Amino acid sequence: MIKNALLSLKKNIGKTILLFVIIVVITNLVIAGLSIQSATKKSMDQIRSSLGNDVTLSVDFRNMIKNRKPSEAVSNETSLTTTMADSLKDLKYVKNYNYQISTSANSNSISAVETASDNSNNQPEQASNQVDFTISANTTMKYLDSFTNNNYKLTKGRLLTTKDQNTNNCVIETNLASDNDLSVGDTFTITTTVNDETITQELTIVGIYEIQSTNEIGSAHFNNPVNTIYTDLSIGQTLTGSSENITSAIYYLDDPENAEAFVELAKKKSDIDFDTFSLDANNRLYQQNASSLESMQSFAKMFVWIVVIAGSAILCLILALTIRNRYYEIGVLLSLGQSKVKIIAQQLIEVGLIAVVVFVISLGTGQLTSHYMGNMLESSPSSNVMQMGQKGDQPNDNQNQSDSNQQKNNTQTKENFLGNMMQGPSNQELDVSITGETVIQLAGVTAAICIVSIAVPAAYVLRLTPRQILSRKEG
Amino acid sequence: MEKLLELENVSYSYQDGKEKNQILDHASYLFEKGKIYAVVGASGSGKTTTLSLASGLDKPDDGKVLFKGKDIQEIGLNKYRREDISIVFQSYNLIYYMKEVMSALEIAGIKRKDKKEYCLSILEQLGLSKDECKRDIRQLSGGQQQRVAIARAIAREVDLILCDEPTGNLDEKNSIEIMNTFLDLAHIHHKCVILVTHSPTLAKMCDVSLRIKEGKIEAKR
Repeated sequence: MIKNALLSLKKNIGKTILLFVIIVVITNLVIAGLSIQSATKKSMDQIRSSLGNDVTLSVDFRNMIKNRKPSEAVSNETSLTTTMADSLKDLKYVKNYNYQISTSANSNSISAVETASDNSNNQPEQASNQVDFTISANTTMKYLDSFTNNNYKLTKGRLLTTKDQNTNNCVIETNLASDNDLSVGDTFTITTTVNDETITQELTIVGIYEIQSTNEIGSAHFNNPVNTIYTDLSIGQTLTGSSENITSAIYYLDDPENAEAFVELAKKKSDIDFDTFSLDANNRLYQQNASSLESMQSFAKMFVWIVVIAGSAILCLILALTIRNRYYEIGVLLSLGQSKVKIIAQQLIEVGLIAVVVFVISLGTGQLTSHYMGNMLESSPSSNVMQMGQKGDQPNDNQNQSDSNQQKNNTQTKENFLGNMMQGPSNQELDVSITGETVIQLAGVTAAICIVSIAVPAAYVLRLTPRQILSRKEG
Repeated sequence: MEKLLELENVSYSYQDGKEKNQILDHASYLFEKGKIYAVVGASGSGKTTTLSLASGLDKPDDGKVLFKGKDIQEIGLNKYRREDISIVFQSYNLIYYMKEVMSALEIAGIKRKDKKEYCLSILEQLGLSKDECKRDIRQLSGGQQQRVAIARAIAREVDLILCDEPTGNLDEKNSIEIMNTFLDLAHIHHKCVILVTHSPTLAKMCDVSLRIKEGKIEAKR
């Protein structure tokens, strides 16, 4: 059969060249589509990974504002509790978690780091209400984005861990430490007022960190991350006067890919009212950044389907037209007793042999086509991939935690990372390189096109009796 | 004589618009080895249909075609055509890219160590030179192409050879030569040869002349 197929290809050189050219075009377009599809998926995965594997449970102020009656104030009474947070911490996908309380405090024993913006707005009536410090109380500091992304770097001592539970240990910024002549092991007090009662809390410094990114320094006063003091969760509970309420619970998952699955699972398995509370997997930020990639991916997917369908149709048509000339040959082979399966197999081998040669060539030429199409798509007006990184002022879904300086910093960190990722010279283009998966997919698609384009015309002919086929070739 | 092929109450019709054309109507006939049969008759009388049914290229509406006493549909039409018979067509039906005789052996599953020499010897016996044997089939004359087609039929070493107007495209000299080959196959090699022909001259050369009349097969001699 292979020998006959080779002889047939050699003798019908015109048809062989025509099929070769068509299959080259089809495979190159398919490989381009598949490469773009895989590149956009890769980029989307990168974005998802860059947004972290954390999912935050907090009060959904956005939804509460939306659902309130006109002129009605949003209730401050609603709080997230540790009981609610605990109901999710043992769910599938959760590797670690951190409960967080964000609050503010003043101090008589130390003074906040002053910034230029503070001085310019230093009006006496505002100063009386001014708070100096942000208190970020955590179960552990081990997974905080600012530290894991190296935006904040520990310079002395250590970070707080779960071993610091129920201690008064704290971690402060290096400028705050130097301004107040503080070092690891020193103590200071902070004060706050809860229900008209003044609470004073002594803190012991166990670590000093430095902010690496200068653009984070410069916010007004307590919002300024240099005036953030990290403590154990219990200190936050003391300062807020509630042993149960927390600001947010952050769950760190085994894989960023599982974020949506975790949110779904949490909604199924817990009693939390998700109209009031939200589980945020940075979806809004992800959607904003990945939307153009998603449309590019769906375009690539549609493109592949169109090429496959159109390619199969064109090949079918050509083979159907040429099979008319092969009535004679099919009839003779049938009269010699050749089985129908073998006749189809021989034709399949003929197209398959061309496809194999084309497949090998396409692995080289497909790369060029993919790059060309990738560049074309990136430069199209609908694609704003390259602009995303420059949007530093994008609103984020963490507004419901606007009192959380930590969260704000986290989000900024993520946006900056995204910005860097998209602006970085190595990521100016979609990575349309041909992967092993693309090669396998291409092989599958090519095989499918060959089988369909042979089977359809062959089935049309082989449903006839040998006598009918032989008599048709005469006409 | 050993009986080889039997048409047993075979009926065949086809629809021509609204009209039904009954070609064979419970026709029966027994073909024996070592004889050459001519099937004659006017155009549309059912000669080619009879040959198609006998060769398993088509199926009868009713009745049976028995080869060595066994229904060819039970044997399997493909298997029957592959292993038990050879067909020679008027228009040679050579596939120009195939090395005809050798490919026919391969399709029939005949394995010979001296396959090439064997095929060449058959072609030479039929009057083709070595040079002609190597030539592209499209460069051979009609008579030469028909000899290749006959060589293809002979090489398979089957007992039954069915020919549909094998000399229709040939001149008289070539026709007689080809006819002599068929006579040798029947009388010397003890094959059963059935040929459809329009030529009364060729029909006369055959052992038995058959005519299809009103759906029945009648032997003239």
